[in-house]
Amino acid sequence: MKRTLIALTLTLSVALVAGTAGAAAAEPSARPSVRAATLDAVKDAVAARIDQRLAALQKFETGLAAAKQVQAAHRDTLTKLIAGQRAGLTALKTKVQGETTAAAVKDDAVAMVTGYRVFVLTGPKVRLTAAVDTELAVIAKLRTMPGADTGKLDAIEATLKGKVDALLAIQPGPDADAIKSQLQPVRAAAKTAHTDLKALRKATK
Amino acid sequence: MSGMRRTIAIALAAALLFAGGCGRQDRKDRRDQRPAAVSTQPAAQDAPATAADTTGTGDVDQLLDQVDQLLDQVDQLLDQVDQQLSGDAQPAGDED
Repeated sequence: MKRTLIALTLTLSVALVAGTAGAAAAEPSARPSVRAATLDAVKDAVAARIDQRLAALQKFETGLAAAKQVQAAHRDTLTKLIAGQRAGLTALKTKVQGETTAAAVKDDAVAMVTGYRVFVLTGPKVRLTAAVDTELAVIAKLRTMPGADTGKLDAIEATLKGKVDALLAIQPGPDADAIKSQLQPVRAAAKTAHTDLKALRKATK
Repeated sequence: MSGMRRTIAIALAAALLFAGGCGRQDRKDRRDQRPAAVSTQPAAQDAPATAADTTGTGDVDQLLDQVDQLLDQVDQLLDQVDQQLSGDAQPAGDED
């Protein structure tokens, strides 16, 4: 977030300084057109970053389609989330192109980050959901094995209970660290379950 | 006297024919039984295989392969999450 805003602020500053210097050397009547050109450059920079997020959403959508173990209700929630973010970002891109002030473009840039959290939240939501649901599928398969250790499988399953629901309830916002803190328990549970299931699988044969 | 000889001769002939007939039937029965024994042999060999199947050895292997594949998928997904949260999988300058 900070890096994105710093990068966009720098782009904006450089563009405005260049525009002012160029305008000073040029005819007074040239100033509005120079400013318009620099504003266009900033709008293009923000639009490019929106495109990166749209491309990421496409990647998450492909990943979700490939993750066959994702439960129907979770798939539905994630599909709607991706579709909603795609629609929102596409509309935001149009809004950016129509902005007439640098301040408005900057507000759009902030909204692009904090309103969606595509990288820090949507991606982990898709992948952690797929990971946890796949682990639950592994547990179900291991239960059908002759001599399955149902006690251990029950214990592992209990650590995953409700984790996806908690994950999908996390909302985007300005505090990236708070989002990461909310993701942490789900991530830790998925990792521990993975380690335990691998150990159980190794002991099976 | 000659009538009695004729009766004995007929009885002997009948006995011989009966004995011969029984012998043929025995041989036929044995022939019939031999192919039957061969044909049941494969069935007898199938029986242990069928029993092995019911223990599910093949099914278990297949199941474990599926479990291994799924665990590999989880491994990759968790790696992707780590990359995402550490910023490695994001465009330069974006950690959001």
